[in-house]
Amino acid sequence: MKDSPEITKGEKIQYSRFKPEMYQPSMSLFWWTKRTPYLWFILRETTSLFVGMYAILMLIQLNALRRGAGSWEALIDWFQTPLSITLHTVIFLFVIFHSITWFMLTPKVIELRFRGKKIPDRLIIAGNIFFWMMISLAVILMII
Amino acid sequence: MEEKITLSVQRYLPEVDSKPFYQDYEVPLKKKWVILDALNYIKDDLDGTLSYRWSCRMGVCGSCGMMVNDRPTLTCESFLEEYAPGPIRIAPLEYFGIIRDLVVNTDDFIDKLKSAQPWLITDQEKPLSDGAYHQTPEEKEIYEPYSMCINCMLCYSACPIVGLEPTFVGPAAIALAQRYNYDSRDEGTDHRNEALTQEGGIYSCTLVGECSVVCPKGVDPAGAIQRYKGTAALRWWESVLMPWKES
Amino acid sequence: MIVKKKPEAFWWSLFGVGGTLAALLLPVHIFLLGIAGPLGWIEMPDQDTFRSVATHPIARIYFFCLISLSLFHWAHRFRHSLNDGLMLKHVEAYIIILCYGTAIAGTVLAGILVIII
Repeated sequence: MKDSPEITKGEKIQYSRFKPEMYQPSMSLFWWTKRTPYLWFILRETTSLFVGMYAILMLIQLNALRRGAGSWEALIDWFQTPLSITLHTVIFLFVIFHSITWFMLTPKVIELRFRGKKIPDRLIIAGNIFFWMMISLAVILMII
Repeated sequence: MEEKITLSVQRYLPEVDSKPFYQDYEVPLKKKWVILDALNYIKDDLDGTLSYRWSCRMGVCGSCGMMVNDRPTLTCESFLEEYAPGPIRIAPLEYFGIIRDLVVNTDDFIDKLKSAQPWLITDQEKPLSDGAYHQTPEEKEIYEPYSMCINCMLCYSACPIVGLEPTFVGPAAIALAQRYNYDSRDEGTDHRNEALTQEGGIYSCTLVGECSVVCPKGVDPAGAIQRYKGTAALRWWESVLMPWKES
Repeated sequence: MIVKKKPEAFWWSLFGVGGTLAALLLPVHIFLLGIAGPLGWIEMPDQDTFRSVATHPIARIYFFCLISLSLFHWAHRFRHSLNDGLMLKHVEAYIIILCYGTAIAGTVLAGILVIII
């Protein structure tokens, strides 16, 4: 019992006799399946793939517009295939999920104060959703 | 007959086995008992070799945090009844090194906490004769929620990024840095910015958001981190677009 | 001083603005052109009309910003998904080049397209 641990300032305490190996748990590749909130988180992050996918689809649309009526008609024809409609529906659902989660999380990033009082998160979320609806309506009215 | 509930406790005894294992204990399911009471009962009456940390029994000291059924929890605040009929699985806080049974190594956490410099920093200290640093109730209200942190580390165990990225400063440390950044008496924002924006700082966070959910004190570390991301981004753009403003 | 640091703040800003634009505008675009139009709920615009809309200066800027920033939003989030979700931190440098590189390429392409359309 003679090995009294020496403690030097600035260094971490080195235990010897009474501290054998520490156990360091490792993380599984499937860590996100362990708790439901993690699963929702991964789903939320996955929406980015569909946002990116639609950005590329928009590039294709612009290119078809540029190349003339023939190309545009061909693209419209492809848009009417079941494959395209399914693809667009899946993208749509994921992007909607992105929109909702995005608007729900904005109060975490932006804290607004009115006369020194914090504006409640719910009000910001409701404002976001309202603004989203208005913008969508504006785009619909412009196109139709 | 008295009702009983089973506690399935993760043990780690380095001199016995190099890996943790689970051990079941039956304890009385008493109405007024929290999980910590049950652990104390085990220690006193069933198995004196069980190791765990605790102190105040009233949710202030922040030392009795454990994983209860895979959720980071203060065991002094969780009643056995809520988990009936059991069994209740008790494990040490996730992502930390385990020293023994339910005792985890906090060295890394303490170092990260220090790197965030969560204390008042002033460019020049006022002489005593100038009196106190004044603050209005409105100014206090801004940082007050973040000052409730008790360093219990539950938020670290809720955050997968803590496990994935060993350099990540972590929720509590950043929330506490923000507590001082938001303090009207403080002038240390620039000092803290260094540790918070480098690799392992705020931009490692991907807003899983669980840190704020498990916090027993209602601190919102996730919000603190996102808001700092915004502030740091604004500062970045400012330093690019208006370099002459750089101090 | 901050500029010399890794440009995380820059990528994050693009991610944030892109995420907001995508959240506000993509659903209605996808719904109209990808679902409602093909299913015959609304009439699909012909090339002439759509092109005359798209060549308006504001529309050019609109499409450029929406496409480019959506791509940067994807790049930043997907990079973190690969890093954390699939635990690929050890090849982070390649992931960064792949993700932001794709977004930059897409931005250049979008810039060319909105100019020559």
